[in-house]
Amino acid sequence: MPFPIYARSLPLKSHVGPVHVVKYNTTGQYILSGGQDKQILLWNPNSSKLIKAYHGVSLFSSFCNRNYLLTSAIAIQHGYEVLDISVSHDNAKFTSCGGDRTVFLWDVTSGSITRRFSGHSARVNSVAFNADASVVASASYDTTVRLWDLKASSAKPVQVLEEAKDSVSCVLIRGTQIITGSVDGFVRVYDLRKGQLQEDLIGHPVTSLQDSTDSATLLVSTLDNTIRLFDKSNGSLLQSFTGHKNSEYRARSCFGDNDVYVVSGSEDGRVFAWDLVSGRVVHELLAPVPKEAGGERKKMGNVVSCVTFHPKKAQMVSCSTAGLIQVWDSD
Amino acid sequence: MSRKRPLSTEQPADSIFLGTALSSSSEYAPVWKQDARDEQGRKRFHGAFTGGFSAGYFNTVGSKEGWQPSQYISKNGKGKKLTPEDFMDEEDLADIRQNETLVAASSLKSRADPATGAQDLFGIIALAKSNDESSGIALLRKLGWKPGYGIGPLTETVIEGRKVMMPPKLAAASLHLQTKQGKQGLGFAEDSPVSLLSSLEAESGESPAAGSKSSLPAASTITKKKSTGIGTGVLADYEDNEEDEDPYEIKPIKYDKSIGSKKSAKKVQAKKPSTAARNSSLVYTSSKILSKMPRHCSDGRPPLSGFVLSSAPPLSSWNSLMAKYGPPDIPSSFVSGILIMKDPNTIVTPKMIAEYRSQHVERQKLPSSLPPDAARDAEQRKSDRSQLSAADRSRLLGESANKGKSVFDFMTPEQREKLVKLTGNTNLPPAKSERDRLMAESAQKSSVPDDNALIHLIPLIGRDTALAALSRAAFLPYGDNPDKRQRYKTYLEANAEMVDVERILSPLAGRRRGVSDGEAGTMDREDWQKELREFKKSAELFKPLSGMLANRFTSSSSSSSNQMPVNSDDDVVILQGGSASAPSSAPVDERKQAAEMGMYGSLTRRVEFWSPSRLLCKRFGVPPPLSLLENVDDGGTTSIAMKATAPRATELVSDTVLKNIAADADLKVDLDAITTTATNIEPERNEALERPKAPSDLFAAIFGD
Repeated sequence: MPFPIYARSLPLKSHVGPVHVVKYNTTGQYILSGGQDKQILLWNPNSSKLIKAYHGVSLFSSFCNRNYLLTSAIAIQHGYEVLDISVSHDNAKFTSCGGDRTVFLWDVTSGSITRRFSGHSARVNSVAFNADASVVASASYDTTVRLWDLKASSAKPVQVLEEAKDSVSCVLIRGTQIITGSVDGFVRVYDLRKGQLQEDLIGHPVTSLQDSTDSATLLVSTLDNTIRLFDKSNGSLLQSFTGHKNSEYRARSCFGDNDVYVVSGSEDGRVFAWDLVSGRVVHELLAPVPKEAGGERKKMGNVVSCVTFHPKKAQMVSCSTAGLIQVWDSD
Repeated sequence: MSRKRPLSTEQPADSIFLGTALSSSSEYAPVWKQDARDEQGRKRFHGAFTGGFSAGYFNTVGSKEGWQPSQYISKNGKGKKLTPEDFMDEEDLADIRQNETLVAASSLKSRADPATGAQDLFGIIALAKSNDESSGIALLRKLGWKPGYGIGPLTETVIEGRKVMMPPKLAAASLHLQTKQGKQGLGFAEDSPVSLLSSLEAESGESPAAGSKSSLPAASTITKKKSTGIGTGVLADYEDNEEDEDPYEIKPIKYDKSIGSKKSAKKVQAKKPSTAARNSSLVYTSSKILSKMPRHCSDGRPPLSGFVLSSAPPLSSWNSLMAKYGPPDIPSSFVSGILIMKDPNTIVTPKMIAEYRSQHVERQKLPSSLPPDAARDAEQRKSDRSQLSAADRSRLLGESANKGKSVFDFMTPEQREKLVKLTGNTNLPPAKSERDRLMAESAQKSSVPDDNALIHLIPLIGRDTALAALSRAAFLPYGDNPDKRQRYKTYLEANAEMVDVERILSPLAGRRRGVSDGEAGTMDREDWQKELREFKKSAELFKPLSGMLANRFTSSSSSSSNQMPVNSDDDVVILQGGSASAPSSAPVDERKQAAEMGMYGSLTRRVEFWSPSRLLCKRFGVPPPLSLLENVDDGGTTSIAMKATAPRATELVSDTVLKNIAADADLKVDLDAITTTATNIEPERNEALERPKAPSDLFAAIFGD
């Protein structure tokens, strides 16, 4: 498959302020985006249409006792920025987290929040479902990872992983492994089947984790302008990818096109693509910048915060702090 | 008899009309043509065959599809939207009328305010806003004035090439509509106390949440709300009438529907005299209210905006001014001057401050310019116990300067080197290895050893530790050697301050008395010391854990080999802190180095045990790992394999520690043998059951009759 290098459609623009995360659903039909403006938006990447916005305040007003009005407002969105989204295997629900220290479980069709988990004492950086969406893991700035049970209605987490010494920036569940990356420079793999914890020291703050489709390797982005590919079994370094700029912000990386490419955002407003085997930069794409704020943005710098590759075809989505989401196609 | 009728008349000839003609046919329509209507003129009854009481559209409400409240507009109501009142009967309406009271429009607004952002959604907000409009604006509107335009004749303006008559543009100054505050009539003198009262009344009606900039007509806002603030005594008499009412009762909020009903006017009038009587209490109203008071300066003009006229009389004297605005008193302990540190790294200690202070006081004393009472004061301050440092006191007592010995004085150069390596601090004082010198001295004197010197060599353990170790009498070690056990007991008792310390020295007594080595109860000094060290170790090991606190601290048992002359546990712990933490931190450093060099792999990886919770395993569809199983069943080969790697937490003293002790004690105890005999239980055999049965005649003797 050719690499998607063409910005065929205009960027999706509905977020106000930086967009922190874009995620495909499992079929790749839709994308979900979350941003600084507390909104979670559902898009169709092919038609560039906004389908649904998971935000707002619902008002319930009713006449009580004939002559006075009872009105209650219930917030059904995050109170602070949305930092991560994870979609369940059946696309029926998704979970989101953010600066308001809570994890929300949403119903995709109705747009309502079915569960909310609070217990973290600081902002929640990342969330992940397990394979059958019975457990949600949330990684927080409070150095803990909490595992929430979706089958029981308990408000307490099933388990709290407290091994990290600093903010846990990303969490990932693959099979029976819970993989976390922390700012203390460690990648920790909690293996439930073995009952053991593998600590791999990377030495630099870890911002993004992604594992390959065969689950044998692990892609780790760190704040030293490097992305590294590790062998999960023995922790050895297989390849490192450099050329992009990533020393301050979380710029997520991912595999692309059946693990042929490694794609990552960069702090200079570009999307970088490397060949996985050789480690060469194969593509450098300039992410769009809104016209009206162009001059200002250029000065401030546009950080491509997240890149996601389509699960099946040659398409990818990038989002940036300029507030634009760009769909990249191969033709 | 018939009469000829003139042709000119239009009336038909064959009929006669009597009476007056009906004006309209509907008034006297036959019963079948009549329809029943209610007071509002609505057709409510349709007859039994046409649907009985009409419910709207073909016995449905609204439309074919069902009830559509937003679209359904009654024709009988002349196109007006129906209000809830339209569906109420007389009883309901009477209820409403009874509940109607005037309520502050501002409080209504403040009630709506918290839901900012969603304000436009509230119909109730629009209601409140329409109340904002003064009657003057309402009049203007009726005259055709539109908001946003000025007042005056229409002028011809050209818009998009067409001439249009437009009202004049709004000049900001020309249309400064000031809402009339209060209910005073025309020509009301503002300065009179009555006006002040009325304005206060208006204020007290407002809820505290409402801003002072509220543009709402405040005077019409007399509320029934309970006032809890101090000084808003306006409503006090009102409250008196309703003493029996629960002030916290939750009642429906009653909104006013019209401005200035007779009822409220009466209330205002009734209240005025009583508020005048309570004039004094009004002095304590909030500054916000005071600032609203119409006041004038002595020149007759109002004060500048942002300023408030002072209510206090002008200050008469300097003293009273100082009493009010004077600087705060300087605390007696304050010493002026700046403490300059020659070395920026110095940490300022209380002692240094005290020294500086004493020097400062002395310097002040030298010129003797101070009055005698000040000098006495300084002397007093100096003699104050809390101000004196230990050095000061020793100087006062005339003691010789005792140069305090540091820990480094007792260290050997090698030990110091080790410490330098660990801490990375090369600035440590030199090691004087005084311990060795002491040892050498005592060795020289060993022919006639001094008791005191020997007592110094006894490794001390804390009293609590000794008592705890003693309390576990069943666990006293050295069961094979009663003499040693007795010595151990003595050692513990001495440490627990139960017996004299001298008794520990008794094994050496024979030596001292010059008895030959072969005699029992005598020991070599080295052996004795070694044994005591061993005792200390075992005492600390065998002591039971004293609660949660015990888990939080690392035992300093390993430090006893260093044997500092200063045997207080605290010092040892401090010294050992560096070396104790060093081995655990070293691997991290190695890993860091490896990570920095990019040597990822086994060097940067560490594998630990981790026990996921049972529920988590269930959710992931994974059998719980062995470490979890082990806690439940102790059988099975798998858990035994785990035991080999992970020490069991349930053991009082682990096997390895026991072995170490045994090695220290030169005991050839076969621990393995002990443990095997202890665990040698055959599950298939029960001796009690397999014993030969008692003879039957015994049973007969007992149970037989």
